[in-house]
Amino acid sequence: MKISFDALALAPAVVPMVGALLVLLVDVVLPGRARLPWVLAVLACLGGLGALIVGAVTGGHGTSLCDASGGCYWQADQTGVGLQGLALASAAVVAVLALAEKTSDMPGTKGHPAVRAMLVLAATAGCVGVVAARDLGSWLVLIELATIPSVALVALRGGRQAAHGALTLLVTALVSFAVLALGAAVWFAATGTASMTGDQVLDAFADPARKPLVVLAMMLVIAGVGFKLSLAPFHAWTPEAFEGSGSWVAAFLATTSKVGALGGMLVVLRAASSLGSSALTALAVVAALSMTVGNVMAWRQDGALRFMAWSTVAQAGWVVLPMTVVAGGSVTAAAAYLALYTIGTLAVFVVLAALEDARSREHETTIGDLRGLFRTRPMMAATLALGLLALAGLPPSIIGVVAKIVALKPVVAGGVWWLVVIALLNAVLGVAVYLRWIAAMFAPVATPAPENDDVSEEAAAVAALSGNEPELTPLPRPKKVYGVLAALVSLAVVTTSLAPNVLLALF
Amino acid sequence: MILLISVHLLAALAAPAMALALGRKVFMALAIVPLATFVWAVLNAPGAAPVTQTVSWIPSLGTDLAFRMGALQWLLTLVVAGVGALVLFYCASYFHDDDRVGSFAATFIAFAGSMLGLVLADDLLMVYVFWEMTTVFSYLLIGYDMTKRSARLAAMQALIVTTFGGLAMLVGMLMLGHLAGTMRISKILADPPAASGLLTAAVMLVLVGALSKSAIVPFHFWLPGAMSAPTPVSAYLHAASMVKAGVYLVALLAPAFAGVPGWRAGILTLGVLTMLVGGWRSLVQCDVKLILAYGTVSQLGFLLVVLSVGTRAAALAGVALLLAHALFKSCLFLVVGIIDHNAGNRDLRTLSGLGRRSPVLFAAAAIAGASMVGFPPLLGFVAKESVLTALVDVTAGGDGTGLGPVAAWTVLVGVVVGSIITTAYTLRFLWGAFADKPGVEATDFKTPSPAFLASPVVLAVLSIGVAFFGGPLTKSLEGYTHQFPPGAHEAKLALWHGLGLPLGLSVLALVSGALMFVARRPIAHAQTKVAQPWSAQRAYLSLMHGVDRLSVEVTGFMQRGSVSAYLAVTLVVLLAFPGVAMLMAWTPDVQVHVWDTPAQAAAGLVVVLAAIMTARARRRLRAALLVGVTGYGCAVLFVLQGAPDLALTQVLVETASVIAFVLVLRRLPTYFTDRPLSAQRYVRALLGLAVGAAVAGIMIVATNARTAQPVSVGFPEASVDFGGGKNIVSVTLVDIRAWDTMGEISVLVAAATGVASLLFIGTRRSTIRRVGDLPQHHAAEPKTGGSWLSGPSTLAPEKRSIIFEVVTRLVFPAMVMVGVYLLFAGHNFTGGGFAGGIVTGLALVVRYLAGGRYELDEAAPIDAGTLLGVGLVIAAGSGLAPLAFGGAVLESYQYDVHLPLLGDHHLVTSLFFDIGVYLVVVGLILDLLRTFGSRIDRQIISEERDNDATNAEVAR
Repeated sequence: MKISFDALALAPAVVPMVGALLVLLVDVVLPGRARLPWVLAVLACLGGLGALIVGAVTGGHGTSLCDASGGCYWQADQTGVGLQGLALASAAVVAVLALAEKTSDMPGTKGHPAVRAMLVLAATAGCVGVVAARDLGSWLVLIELATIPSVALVALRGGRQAAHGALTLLVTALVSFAVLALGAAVWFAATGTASMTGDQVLDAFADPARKPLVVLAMMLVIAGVGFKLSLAPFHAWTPEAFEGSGSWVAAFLATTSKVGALGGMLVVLRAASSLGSSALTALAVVAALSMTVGNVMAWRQDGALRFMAWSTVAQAGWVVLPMTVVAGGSVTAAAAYLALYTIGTLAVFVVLAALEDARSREHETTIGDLRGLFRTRPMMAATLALGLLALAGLPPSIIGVVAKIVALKPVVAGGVWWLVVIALLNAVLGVAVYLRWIAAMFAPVATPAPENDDVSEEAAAVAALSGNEPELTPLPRPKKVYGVLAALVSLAVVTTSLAPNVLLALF
Repeated sequence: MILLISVHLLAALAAPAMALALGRKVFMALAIVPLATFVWAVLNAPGAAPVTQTVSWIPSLGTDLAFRMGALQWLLTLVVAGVGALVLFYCASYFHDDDRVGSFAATFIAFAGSMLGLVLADDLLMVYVFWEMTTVFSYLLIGYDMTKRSARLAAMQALIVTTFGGLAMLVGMLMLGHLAGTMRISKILADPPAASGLLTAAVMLVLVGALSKSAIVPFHFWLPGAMSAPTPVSAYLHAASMVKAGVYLVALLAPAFAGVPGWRAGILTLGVLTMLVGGWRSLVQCDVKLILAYGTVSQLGFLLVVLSVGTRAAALAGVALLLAHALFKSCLFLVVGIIDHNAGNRDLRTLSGLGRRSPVLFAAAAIAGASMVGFPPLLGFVAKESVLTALVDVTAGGDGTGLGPVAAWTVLVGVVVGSIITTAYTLRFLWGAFADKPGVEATDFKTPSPAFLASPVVLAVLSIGVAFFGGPLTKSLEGYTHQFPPGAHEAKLALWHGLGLPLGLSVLALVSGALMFVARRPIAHAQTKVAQPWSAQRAYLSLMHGVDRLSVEVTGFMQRGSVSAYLAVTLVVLLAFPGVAMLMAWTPDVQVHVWDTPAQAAAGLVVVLAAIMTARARRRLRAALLVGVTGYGCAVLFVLQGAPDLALTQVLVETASVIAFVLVLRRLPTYFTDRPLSAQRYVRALLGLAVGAAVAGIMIVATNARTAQPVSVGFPEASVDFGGGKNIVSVTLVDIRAWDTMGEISVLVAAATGVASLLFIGTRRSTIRRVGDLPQHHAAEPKTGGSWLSGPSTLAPEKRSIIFEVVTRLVFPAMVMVGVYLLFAGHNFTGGGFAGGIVTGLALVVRYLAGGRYELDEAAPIDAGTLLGVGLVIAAGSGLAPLAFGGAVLESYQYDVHLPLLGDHHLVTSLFFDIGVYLVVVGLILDLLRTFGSRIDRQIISEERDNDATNAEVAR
């Protein structure tokens, strides 16, 4: 048995993995460096991205590990390459955020930078790999590789909250992995092959005896991967883990990790989406539930991380929305929506990390901390607003609007009206949810509790008349890195808004 | 056209910086942009062919940056740009120099650009994008004064209502595009999709958007609320532009879709209703701005009625009315803005004598008001006459609309009654704002500057002037009106339509309205008597409140922070979806093969009993050991199945985990807590049983459905050919599936890091402390060569066991040897790097148990992290090494070597990979021992010390 091997196609996953090992080695040789591991991590992510770009430019076919019969255990088609790029780019941003973090605030010995960087890289490699894995075993292992390090990342943050978050994440991860393993076993039994490439799924589907089994396998896989995507009702870990883990770890969980999860799900559903089945109905129910639960829960959250956690739950519903119908473009639509989600979420997290850093992490950022941000830090406020608007699907973040259209279009074309109605109501609800945070940035700093609003409005007027405007709390200037990152993500939102095709053509 | 829109948006970007330099004069500078647009539109008056421009944008959605200016678009461009320029000019006098001027100006000009885009766009999705842009910018404009809670709420309300409508419209547009096969509006209009239920639904959804944006009942309530915006915003958004978006859309689609079932019935009903409700509410307002706001609601209803009828005459009349309304209503709002600005008051009960103080202002308002009521010779009169003519035509035989006489007469009567009310509230407005009121002190009113007055005056003059150009206007609008079939009479705009029913109705409206104004007191009295049983506003508020309540309650329910609750939810879902799917897959021919040998049944029974007893156990330790028993039972099953290697691994893993359990359980209370209470415990037990049954069912179904040959049939051959070994499991791990093993050990390393740090948020890099490093140790008990182990000397005497120490001393080297043997033998015989690693790890466990943490450090004076890291690097390195020799990653080579002492050996390069695995496993167990063993030991000791100290203090 001879297996051909294309190093370039594998490089996007291998480079971060080698980077992880390198980080460990460097830590042995030069222990105690706080920044070096993260610099390496950033380079490794960019290196993987570079390999991806080289592959795309030179017209690489993205396949590797092919056996004589022509089946390949590693296939990254155009959507796959797009997702891999998304995972690597978001991981790079996360690594820069981690690099910028004040390590002196960390409990324990300087926050274990080497270990954390290694974990981020390992999980990134898993996320990149799972997108292209076409072998059941590798697929399972890579999903695991993408998941377990994030548990450690949350735990390493330190403190009771982090431990609780990590525990919730761990328990959910283990259960879902068990489900996934079961699903893989059933898949194998139904199709008779460990390869996820060929037409065996179609064969199994055509066979009435095996069809229910395929459906069963898909349901199990949806449940198992649904946990990673924070789809309701597998979402419970999200707020606990986000709150416990701090901005950049939460950003990692919300972006890179999700890309890997969607990639993993696509591998399975790609085979199924041309068939149409009750598994898709299950997915539709899950999508509707996620949107609704996420939005309703986000409505009243005052903590930024918990808010973003519920936002993630709601957005996950939008990500899988197009996949609930049998349509040609549904896979690319899901990937495109995920890309928008990633950009928007990163924009929010960059600002949250900047605020957290500027405040030296006195407490978690709440909606109250954002008051007056448009006047004190217009650049940060604009980035945050662009990100939130992108998630809400409102201009001027036109890309958010376009993504919502892209996601809705297959469902409308497929005529799943109940789902359209739920999506519609949730879109409105989402607008209200996100705008609450944008409105906060416009609100004056000294806005009192709503009950005695009228009284204090007068008081504010009096104060304004006498020339004593309520003082803005002087927020220390965030580090330059955050400014650069904020500018970069804003640029991404603006560019893709002006020319959405830049983003859509990736998938 | 793209250029014009872009210039608007660029101006918005530049506005804040310009405002810093120019102050409020920035408005004048910005007014140039819409003015230029206006001039451009005038120069491009509609000719034979519409002006178009197309740039490819999103091919995958079939959407382009397509713009098209036909006659209708031309008129609206003139309105949007012209009124925009005038209002911007006005703003320069209205606002004070303030640091908010820049952002306001930017938002305003951005809004103007979006509105222009909305009007010119020829693509459904482009329309939607611009539509939402106007929504967002209007949110910012309405909520300009964010310090006011009322402004924030009103802005939010307007936004929610219009976004809801917008999204419904989007769905409708997607459906429409789907049916028509194109997103290009002009193409859809030229070749509308065939009538179907789907088309009706699509058009209705689009109408929901249009109605919500144009404040038609039941969405009308957001508009009066939005009056908390600065008055120039009201003059522009709520008179000339944004609220016209819905009207525009209806006008645009009417030629193609007026015949869709439900179009006329829906719009005409709601339109007439809106006209009446708006006018009626307007009569009771005391704020002059609110009179105008409700009046606008009323007029928007009127506009929709006319534009949706779908005859050529009505279309022409509607467009004329649209123009007239834009002119007079923005003029009136601007007048109110001047009053508000210079008198600081908008209440008609306290305003008095303004007419005398500023006759110019009054004149402008009077002209605009006269246009609103349809007084000749103003544009409003021209429009209203045409409207009435068109509607009268419809009453006589439908004029091609298919409307029955009852419906047509109802509409006509509704419109006339609405006009009567319009006259009444217009008079009330003029009286309230300008009249001298007996008993009311004359209002302190600063005479407005000419610049301030300029814009309303220009608008008032236009209201007169345009009325005389009915002919040319009719001609230029032909591009739009000729989309409709010719009607009973030739459609034209003129000051004199001749004597007839329409003129009579106009006179009737004016006279009755004047009478109604005179009788305003009794009417107001009657109005307050009529209780308002229901209002859309209240419905909206209670809806929002409901979501709020729901959110609070759901949050309390969902966000409990209890891991077991989350787990329960997940398990229930598993039962609900895959469980049900399993039952569906369960066919009658599913066969259960009970056992091969009775021994399997015995082993199975043991496992089942152990599982039940685990669930019933009250002691933690007992539960942990019983879980171990289930694992050993599985190992027995493996042996019976003929898989010794698997069984060996299973036993070793089970042992290691039981030890880990025991080490951890030292720190936990002996018994489980009493919570949850017994009732809940039964529920949990049932859930567990159900999940177990479901999983078992899935297994049975899956194995029954197996038709393909197992992949492992080919393994024995492959393992020799490909991996050069006879132990299938081992070869699979290190060769056939080496990629997965690589991933797996990476996961293992990450997991070890995670678990350890989950429990101890301290340093991972713990220092190795050997016995010799202890200072007091040297002093107390000098090391003697004769002792079996050196570590136990650090323990308290009562915790030592000499026999155990002796046995350990003897067994340890043997166990390590076995471990190494398994590592090397693994390729052909039972064993492998994984099993070897666990055995070696267990040897370390024995040392730790016998001699405590110092003994462990004596046995393995190395950091666990180092072992893990080195193992990972060796595995990766051995995988990559073949690359250097031109092979593939993880390819293995075989050599036969003769070693001097050990004899002939068949060496496979994948052995190095296995060594990496071995090191990782040993490192993992060492890590577990250090965290669960040593670290907990240290905690116990320090706690005991603390306790002793407290006790001593208590004793004292």
